[in-house]
Formats: sequence, C-alpha cells, structure tokens
Amino acid sequence: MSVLTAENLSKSYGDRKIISDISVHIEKGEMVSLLGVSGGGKTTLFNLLSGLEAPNGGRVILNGEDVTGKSGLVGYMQQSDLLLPFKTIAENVIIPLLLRGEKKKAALEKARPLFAEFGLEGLEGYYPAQLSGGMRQRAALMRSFFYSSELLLMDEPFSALDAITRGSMQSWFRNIVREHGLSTFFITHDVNEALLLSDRIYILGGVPGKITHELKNSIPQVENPELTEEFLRNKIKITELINNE
Amino acid sequence: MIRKQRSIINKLYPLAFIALIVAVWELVCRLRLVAEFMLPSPEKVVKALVTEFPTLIMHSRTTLLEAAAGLGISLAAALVFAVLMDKFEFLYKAGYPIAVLTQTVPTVAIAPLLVLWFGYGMAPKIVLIFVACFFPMLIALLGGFQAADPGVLRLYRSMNAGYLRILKDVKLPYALDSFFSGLRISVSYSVVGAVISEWLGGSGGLGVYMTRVRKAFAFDKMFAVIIVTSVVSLILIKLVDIIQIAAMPWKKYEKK
Repeated sequence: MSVLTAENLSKSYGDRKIISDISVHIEKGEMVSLLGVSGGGKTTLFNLLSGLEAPNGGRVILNGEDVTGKSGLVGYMQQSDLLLPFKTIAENVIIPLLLRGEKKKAALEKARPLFAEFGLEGLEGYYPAQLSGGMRQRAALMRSFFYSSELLLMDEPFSALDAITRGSMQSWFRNIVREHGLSTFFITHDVNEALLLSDRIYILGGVPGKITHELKNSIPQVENPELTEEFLRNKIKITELINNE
Repeated sequence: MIRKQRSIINKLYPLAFIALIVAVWELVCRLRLVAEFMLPSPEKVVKALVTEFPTLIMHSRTTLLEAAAGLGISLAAALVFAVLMDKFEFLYKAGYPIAVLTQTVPTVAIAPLLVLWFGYGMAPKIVLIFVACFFPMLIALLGGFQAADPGVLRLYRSMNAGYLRILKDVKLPYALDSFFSGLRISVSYSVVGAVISEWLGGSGGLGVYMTRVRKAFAFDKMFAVIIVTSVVSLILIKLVDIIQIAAMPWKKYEKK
C-alpha cells in the first residue's frame, strides 16, 4: 500500500511553470530518491508534498487521505540541519513532541532510549555548535523521526557534509531507516547516493520539471556496493539519462 | 597562556592612555596654564570625590531608581510593541518610520515640556528615560526577530507551529544578541536621561546635585559627580555583559 501518492501535481509562480503533471508514489518501508539538476523543481515538489505550498493542480494522498496543501503531516528534513543553536541536542530533537503538546519531561524520557541508536549518546546536553556536521545531521534526523516515524521527506540531507562523513552517514542512515521500517523520499543530485540508498529512483527533468524516468534499483548486498559492476553500470545509465534531458 | 597575556595587554592600552591624560591634566593645572576655578586639578577632584562620597552615593540611589523604573517600563513596552509590529505587518509599516523619527528628537529639548506636563516629581523623569530608551530597545528587538533563521521558521511552520510558539522557541532566542546590544545602549541612556531630567528640578539625584555644585562654582565636585555618573553607567553596561554571558551559554561554543 502506498504511504504517499502524488497525482498530476503542477506548480507555477506567476507565468513561470516550475513543475508540471508530476505523479509519484512511495510504498511502505520504501526508500525512494529524486534525482535531477539544480533548479529543476525538486524542492518545489517537496514543498507541495509536505503541504508547505499548495499546488495549482493535482493532489497529494497520504495513507488514503487527501492532504493537498495541509502542512504538518509528514517529516521534512531540509538541506541544512536547522538545529536551534540555543537549545541542547536533547531539546532540539524533542521539538516535534513538544509541538504535539507533550510535556518536556515526558518527551525527554521518550527520546532517551533512542540517543544511542542515533549515535548521540552522551551528547544530549551539548549545544549544536559543539558537534561535527555529521553528528548535527544525526540529531536533525532524530528530530524528523520524532515528527513522523512513518514517512520522511529529505532535501539533500547529506550535501553539506564532507565526502568521508557523508559515506559513513549514508550507511548508518540506510540501516536505521530499514530497522524502523521508515518510508523515505529524498532529493539528491549525487547519483552514487541515489544508487546506494534507494529502492527506486525518479529522475526529474525538463522545463517545467516532469518525471522523465522511474527506475527500480537493488542495492548490492556487499561491503563496498559502489565498486560492483552492476552499480557502475547503473551509474553510467542514470548519468546518461540525466545528461540527455 | 599567550592569548591571556594578549588580553591583559589589550586591557592595559586604554588604562595607560587614561593615565597619560590625567598626568597631562595634572601638569596643566600645576603649571597654572588654566585658571583653577575653570579646571580643578585631578588631585582636587579626587579629594572632592572622597569627601562627597556619602552624598554622591545617596544621590546615585535616587538616579538609579529613576533609571531602573524608566528602563523597566521601556523594556516591557518595547517587547509588547515589537511583538505586535512583528505579527501585524501594517503596524510595522506604520510604526517603524515614527520610531526612527523619534530618535532624532533631542531629549534635552523635550525635558522642560515634560516638567510642564508632569510636574517636578518622578513622573517626568521616568517619561524622559522612557523616551530615550524605548526606541533603541524596540529597534533592537525588531532587528533581532528578523535575524531568526528563515529555514528554522520554515521548519516550525512545516510542523504547524503557531505564532506564539515560534515567538517563544525561535524569534525571542534569536533576538537575544540584538536585545543585549540595545540594552547596553539603553542602560547608559537611562542614567544620562535621569541626570538630564534631574537638572530641571527635584529634591535628589545626581542631576540635582550637579546643578547645586554648578551654581556654587564648585567645579571639583562637578567633575566628581561626572565621574560617578560615568562609573555608574559603566558598571551597568558591565552588568549587562555578565547577564548576557549567563543568559546565552551556547555563545561560547560558536565560532567567532
């Protein structure tokens, strides 16, 4: 069953049409990526899916219910970690729980067992400025997880990290998502990242932006999947598809 | 260790410069280059400061009380107006230019009018301090609200947070830096404003004392009260620094 379905979404700003007639779906527990060049309308599509903006046409269905233009229903993790510098890591991650009306003490109790799993044990009382970029992203992901433990939209979540940190974050992320059965839909313009983390890949191209291709992807279950022949073949294929747009 | 030494040296520069000015001043007085009644020597000023100290402390209390009342009211009013102007765009558009305009009105010029309207009690003094402190605080808070990270605001809105929650969780904490900058200006304005308002009348306060010694041509005491006024302002500014450090513990971890 689809957790999220978007049907024929379109969005314009004035006379400028940004995306047109986009339909996507995310199944339960599925990791799906959206690939495309910068300025192609990827973030606009995510704003529509998260309800931050209303589409000019089409609709968004979440668990069978029409939620078009309604915000606050799915977790949305944006490019930077957006941690509040004046709150500790623990206070940052429980924000969604507090917004839902939970008391601070109860929210902290709920968060406590998950700190170790998110690699943040012992850092609960630290301020974001005391942590590395990777750790901050983990905290941001934990906050998003508390917002929605079902579906996460992520806009280039690892783009601000250095290559080594990004690599370790990607494998950690894959494991934690699988473990919790999360459905994720994330934007990336890194073909490697899409192939390492996705069950399915959408390619967005053209002006206005449209879904030009939808590819199934199986992540090779080996230690360094990016070194396998299958991975390289898929990488060349996707790169050609993007370049031909 | 080197950083600490450098910090001490940096603090010694202004002290050495002040010492040089005082030395030159003393020399000018001893050589009688300026008539004594026009410029008392530092030695005489220090003596006046010592002998008049209990009186100066007593008058400082009155001035500080007025300054605290005026500053407290301006802080509360600035916070209310800043929130309203932040929430309602039409209020911002209507009020901001007026706020800037009032900054150009000299407080010394309106002081006699305030006495005329409110009498010689504490009221005109508090109103004058309010006029001097309200707008720097309002502008500091509005600027602070606008400094809130747009990404964080967007995140809160994506989680369906209401204005009051965003204000409490995001805008007010982001405005702290700007708030304390405004407060540093306002505390010194409040003391100076109190002294100016006391020139116009009253029974106590550093401004009242200043008027009395001026009329008696006791310029050594005049300098003594000027020093006390400056020291009081400096102590208050330092107090704001200490409060800011305590109120913003995360700042020490942020990269400069």
